[in-house]
Amino acid sequence: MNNKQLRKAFELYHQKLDQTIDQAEVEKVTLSEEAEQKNERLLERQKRFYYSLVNTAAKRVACTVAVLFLAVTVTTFSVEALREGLIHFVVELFDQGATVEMPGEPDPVKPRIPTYIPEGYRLASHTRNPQTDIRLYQGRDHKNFQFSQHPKGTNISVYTENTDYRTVTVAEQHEGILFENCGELFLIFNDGNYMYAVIGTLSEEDAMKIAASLFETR
Amino acid sequence: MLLFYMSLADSPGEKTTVEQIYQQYKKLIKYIALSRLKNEPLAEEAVHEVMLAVIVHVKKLKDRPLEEIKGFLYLVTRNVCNDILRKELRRQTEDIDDLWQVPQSNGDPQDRVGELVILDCIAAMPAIYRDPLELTAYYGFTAKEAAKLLHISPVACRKRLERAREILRKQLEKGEEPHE
Repeated sequence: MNNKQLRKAFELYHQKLDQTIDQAEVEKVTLSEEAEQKNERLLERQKRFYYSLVNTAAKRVACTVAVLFLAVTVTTFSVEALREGLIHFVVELFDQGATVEMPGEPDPVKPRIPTYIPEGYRLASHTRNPQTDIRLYQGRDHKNFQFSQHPKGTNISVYTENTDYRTVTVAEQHEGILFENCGELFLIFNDGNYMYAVIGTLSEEDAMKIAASLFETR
Repeated sequence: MLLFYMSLADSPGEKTTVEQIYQQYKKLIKYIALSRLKNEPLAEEAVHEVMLAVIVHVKKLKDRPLEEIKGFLYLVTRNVCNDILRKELRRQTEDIDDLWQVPQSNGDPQDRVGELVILDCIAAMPAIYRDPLELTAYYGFTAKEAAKLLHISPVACRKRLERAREILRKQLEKGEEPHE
């Protein structure tokens, strides 16, 4: 037996397998509108140039860590609307993304753990070093989110193509920015000591609750 | 940084292949999944899972005609359905080969050419051995890639490949024995 014969045999096998399927019955099958939309969104996402880098939760974590360690000295310019008021973020906007930086001298991260985790999610992994603390939570139906904590002087690059961000207030005192892109929510905020990020497939309400739970006094 | 990411981008051709596969075969994938799972929402979940697998492995598929990719979709859909059933029922499930039995080739045994003999062996082989063999010998996956697709360890995949080839070799030797 050689490989050519084996491949030919598989071709014949596929043909015969095909013959056993009732094509008329296949044509009658329909997908629900929800399923079609879900798959269409997937097809749209896979067109993005960065999809192969972020198509799994583990890769998203790796990308975030890589961005932090590859932090390039960029010339940041302040966006006036953000400088005014209580915002201490420096946000540089470029064509398809933004770099969010919290200026200052870095201190090693003393991890804070959110006490509110939405129902159905569980801690799947925890990556920690002096520069960052990242917790990945997984839920049902491929939903997941990560909570990360970063010291001053680091920056986070995010993709903001075709989306607008808005400012929010966490726990009635801490400023942040929030936006959605490609079905994922991004909430980045700081408490004056650290910068935090909640990123993933979860609702805005849950993201804000997770953020606020860091500052609950018991 | 953007340029760094863009240099790793997949080609537009691969993205088009994925769309073509979806539009052409979404009904077939759901039909196969429905036949096994007997549940509409689970079947639609299976369609989504199959498309995720297609996207991950599109590099192996993009140069093949769409017709050839059908076999890959049968294989992946079957395995996805088994995974879903295991998750839903929390028990080991039997493979779904029994749904579509590929008939063996006809003809005088003495006239059978090599491919038909191998075809019969493949059709009769349990799917746990046939799938790794099909992925590596026909679709060009490495054992490691096939293991990932089938959700088994690389060691298990290599063992199953060895077993598949051993089964083939023994069947072929039987087929070559003089007939009375």
